[in-house]
Amino acid sequence: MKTKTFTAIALGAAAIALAAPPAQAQYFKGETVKLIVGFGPGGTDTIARFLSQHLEKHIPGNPKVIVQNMPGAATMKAMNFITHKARPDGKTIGFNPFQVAAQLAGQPGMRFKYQDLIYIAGLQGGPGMVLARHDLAPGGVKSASDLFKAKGLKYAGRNPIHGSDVNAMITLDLLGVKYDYVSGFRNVPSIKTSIQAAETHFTGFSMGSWFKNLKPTMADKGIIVGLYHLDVMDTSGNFSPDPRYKIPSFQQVYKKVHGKAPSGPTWDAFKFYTSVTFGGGMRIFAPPKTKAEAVRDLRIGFKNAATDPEVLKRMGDAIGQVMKYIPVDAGEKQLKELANVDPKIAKFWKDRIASFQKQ
Amino acid sequence: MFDAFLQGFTLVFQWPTIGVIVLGVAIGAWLGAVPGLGGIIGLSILIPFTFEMDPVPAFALLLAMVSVTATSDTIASVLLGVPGTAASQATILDGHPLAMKGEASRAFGAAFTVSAFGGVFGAFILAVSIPLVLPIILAFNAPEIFMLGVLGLSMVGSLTGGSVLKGLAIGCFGVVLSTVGTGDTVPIPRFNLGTDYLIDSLPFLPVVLGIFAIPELMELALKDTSISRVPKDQAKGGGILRGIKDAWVHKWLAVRCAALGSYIGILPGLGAAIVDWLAYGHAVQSAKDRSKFGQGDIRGVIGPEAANNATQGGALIPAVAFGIPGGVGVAILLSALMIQGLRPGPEMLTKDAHVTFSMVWTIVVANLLVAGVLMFWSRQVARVAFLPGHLIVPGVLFFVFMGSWLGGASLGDWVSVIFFGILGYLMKRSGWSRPPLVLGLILGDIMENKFNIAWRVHDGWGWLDRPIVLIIIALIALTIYLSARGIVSTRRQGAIEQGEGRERNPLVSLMVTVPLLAFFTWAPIESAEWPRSIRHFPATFALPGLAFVLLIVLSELRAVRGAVIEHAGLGGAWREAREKALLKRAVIFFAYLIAMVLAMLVIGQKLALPILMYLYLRRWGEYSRKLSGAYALAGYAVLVVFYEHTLHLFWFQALLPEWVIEVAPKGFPTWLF
Repeated sequence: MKTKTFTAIALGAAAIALAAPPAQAQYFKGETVKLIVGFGPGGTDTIARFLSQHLEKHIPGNPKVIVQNMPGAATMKAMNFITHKARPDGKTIGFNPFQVAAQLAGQPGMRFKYQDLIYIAGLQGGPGMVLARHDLAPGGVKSASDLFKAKGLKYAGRNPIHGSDVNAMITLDLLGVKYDYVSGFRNVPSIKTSIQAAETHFTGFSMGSWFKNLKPTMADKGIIVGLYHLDVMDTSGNFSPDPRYKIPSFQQVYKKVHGKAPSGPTWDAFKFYTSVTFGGGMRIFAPPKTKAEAVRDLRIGFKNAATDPEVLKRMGDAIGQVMKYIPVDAGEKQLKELANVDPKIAKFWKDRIASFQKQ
Repeated sequence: MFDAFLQGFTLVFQWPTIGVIVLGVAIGAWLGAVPGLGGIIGLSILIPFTFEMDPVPAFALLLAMVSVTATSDTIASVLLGVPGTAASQATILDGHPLAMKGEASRAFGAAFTVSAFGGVFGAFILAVSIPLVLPIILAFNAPEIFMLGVLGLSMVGSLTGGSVLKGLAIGCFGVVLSTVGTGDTVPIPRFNLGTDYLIDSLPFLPVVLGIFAIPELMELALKDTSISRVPKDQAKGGGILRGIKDAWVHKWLAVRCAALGSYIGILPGLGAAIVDWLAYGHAVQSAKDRSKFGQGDIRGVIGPEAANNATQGGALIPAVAFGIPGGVGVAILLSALMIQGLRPGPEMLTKDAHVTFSMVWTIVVANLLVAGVLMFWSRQVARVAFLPGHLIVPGVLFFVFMGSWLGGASLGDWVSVIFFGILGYLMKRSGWSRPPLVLGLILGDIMENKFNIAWRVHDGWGWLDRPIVLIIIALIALTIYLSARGIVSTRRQGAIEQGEGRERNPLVSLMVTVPLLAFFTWAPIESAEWPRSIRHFPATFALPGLAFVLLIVLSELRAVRGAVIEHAGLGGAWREAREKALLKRAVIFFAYLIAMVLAMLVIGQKLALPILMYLYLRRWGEYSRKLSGAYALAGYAVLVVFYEHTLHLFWFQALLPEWVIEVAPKGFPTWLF
């Protein structure tokens, strides 16, 4: 009887001990996690603020999650801070776009390498796309190949390291479209009006901007056409079209025009870029040497928040597209690839970006 | 269409929408009134709350908040001579002199009346002229926007106060400053002095707050005076009703400026930034008697205030109908509305027109509401003008430093605000008009960007023969002619010693001129090696700047020689100049600010600012320990409650707060430091 009671108590105690969250899971209890965003309000800031509410529920210990803006130098200022000045306690982490082209080109002011930071999570945006004015060819543009004959084409660009421009221009080059790169457009509205006024003729856009803004206001009216979207690469390196688009993918267009799959050094460089970025999106990084338990809990929190069906349901409306969670192993693999980049490919990108800057 | 118009009206007056509008108006009024805050900050605070709201109240909250900041920002502009938000910079030119004459209420009466009118007018005129909006936007490409920038810059002539040369030189300085940081085409940081702080650009807020706010605060601190130089019982003719009457008398000016505001405001990338300056320039140039401008001419308040609210209202239609927002604020607003499921597009004018009209009505209601409330309240607010200045200085300094910090969340922001504070003070004391610097800074950035695009798109100067470009060139010529005529006729009326850019003090002026001379010499040398596309623009303005400054140096040396003869020696002349400019007390004032920043490196911002407030009140104002302590404590509370817990500001990582985080036990409220 006594042993039974004892056993019962012991079992009960054990059950309580097991049921109670382990002490180390409470690392973030009562704490505040700051997401440092390298822009002011809008865009990345909106995505971070949207996600921050859900992170509070999903990071073990339920810390308060707030967004702090440290705008400047296209996120370089914020990421320099994360790398060199932020305390490695997991309470200050970077939430910014993944600027691989900046690293490959050796952007001035960039005082860190992505592979030196600790990967927490990644959010993959939908694949970007390329659009053109409809009237660039007699009878209207139907396919990218209709642009081959057009003369004096101007590409409305932001800057040569901007993800949308990198993706669009290299695919246009692969296809063989000739154009002048006009840089300096700072936002969607200025590009839109420029193209609508036929000042410039085509450009690349993100999936969110296409579906929420450009398609309803310009494509549906017949002013512009979507030429193609970029193929999506999965974690094992295979490409496939994105079914959400009703326009062909780049590789489909390429095969139709050239009768074979793309190849050669430009294609290799592009494939490398795609495989280390998955086309772009956000990356969440903690400072080097961040405490292991903080890293673990942050990774859990981001994973659960970014795969929560409730969150995904609202994300489409909130930020224009559903961003896909990139798991830790895939994200770390990309960073390793980036660290061990083939010098030939690194040089290709450096020269290429420098050539656009010289124009 | 009319059905949708009425349907929109009923949507707005449903519960909880109307309640939410009141809330939005209250928040927007506060954010607009405090220098350094504004609608964009309001959006970043409020957007997360709207995720959980229904679309119509969410729209109403954001729109109401944003559209009233351009009304309440008048308060700081008039009372303090500090622009409440970027939209009412031009208002300070005549609004603040009115407050100094004890006529703040009159300025408020006029400003709130035309603000309400402008807001309603802007919303409706664009609702009516929808078919015109898109063609207008599309007619203004890079070359046209560039030329509008040049037109804006030519307004400098109306803003130069006493010396045209000084106005032009400082305008050039502003333009060259706008090129600080990485250009659009080649990623080489320009004029960044090797710092990370300037690698992107020189943040705008520390410059504006430093150059306008600090000198005005020093006026109060150094001269032991209240904002109104006239005691309350002697102030005459300054009532709100007088202001409303003024607005009625100048109704056609208000109509013209509101129309200007609504149409310029729809142009992406340019509109909102310069509308108030263009309206001010128009007010000056369309006036027969210009002698009172800069010294409290009510038309100088009516013009910009009618225009800036019209811009806010007018920018909405192109944003929702075509997805083309006119400015940063509207762009963020649009993305917030899209979160709520709004799809910009032609349906917003057909199928969903009632939603569009509900937004138009929200703007109308918010504008009328805020004008009414502020009007009602403005008698109390205007009393601030008669308070001892020492009570105002620490509070405003507090917001100036925190507002600057929002520029880049960097120590450089506080260095900038003090640097431009010193520059602004010297300028104010020696006949340099400050607005051209700000105008150059705003326009320079847009102009360089658009010029490069125009150059690339049209392969050089191919755009010069475009019809709208030619029309703008004609307008520029007309503006320069009118300015020149105005300057000549003002000069004939004799020297005026009051108002922006009119104090004479050649020795102090040399303290501005000599560094400018050095700057304009250094800039072309520094940029000599850069690629053409990022070198030309700063050089185009640095070289004429150098020429203007050389001419100024010559005339000043002549004036100095006169002063030296008059005072029998340089020592005597310097003593006179120093006393006239109150330089000794000014140096002590800046020593306080610099000491505060140095102390901040150790004890952190949350302690350094309240300590500055306390010490200022004790030493300069000679107030009791109790009052000074309570004042400083209130400042501390605002830092913790608003900047820490509402804005989640990124703070400077000073030694003390960092040490507290390091050693504090878990659960200790480290945010107290």
